[in-house]
Amino acid sequence: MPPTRPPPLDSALAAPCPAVEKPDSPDYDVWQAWAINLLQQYAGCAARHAKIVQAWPK
Amino acid sequence: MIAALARLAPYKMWIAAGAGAVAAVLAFGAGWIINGWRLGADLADLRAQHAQAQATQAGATVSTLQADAAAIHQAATEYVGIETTLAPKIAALTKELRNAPKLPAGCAPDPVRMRNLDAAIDAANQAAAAR
Repeated sequence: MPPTRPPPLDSALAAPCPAVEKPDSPDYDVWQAWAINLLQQYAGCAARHAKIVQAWPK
Repeated sequence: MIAALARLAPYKMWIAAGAGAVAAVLAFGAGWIINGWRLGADLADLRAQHAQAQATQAGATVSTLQADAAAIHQAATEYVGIETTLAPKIAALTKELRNAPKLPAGCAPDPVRMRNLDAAIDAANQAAAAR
């Protein structure tokens, strides 16, 4: 009998969300750049989550 | 039949009885063999049906796995596309920030706000790392 487990996730989808780095210095511009980077990380993780849910065997 | 045997001479009676016993054994053997053939044919038929059912099920499982793998591949491709679209937008915003007018001198977060943000980051990382 062939295996009945679903195929493994693609490595792009299986990658963990990166840990949040702390801002380099007490500076509002540094904070804003940090926040923009954080939003990029969030968007990537959210998109990955959505695509995993989409790909999950129904 | 028994009365007819009783009229025979004793040795003929034994011969007749022996012949009857041999005939019974042969009949039983023939029946046994024929029944074996019949059961063997039934068993072969059942085995063929079982093999066909297994093959059908295996085919369906392989089709499902192929569909699942294709869905995962498509989702991964779409995800990479989203990241590729987002990256230049973020890069442009970061560049715009670097070129923004400078903030007034001394305008910086105080230690309380720094500690507060650090604590929030620690809490977020702790939650994200929990398994």
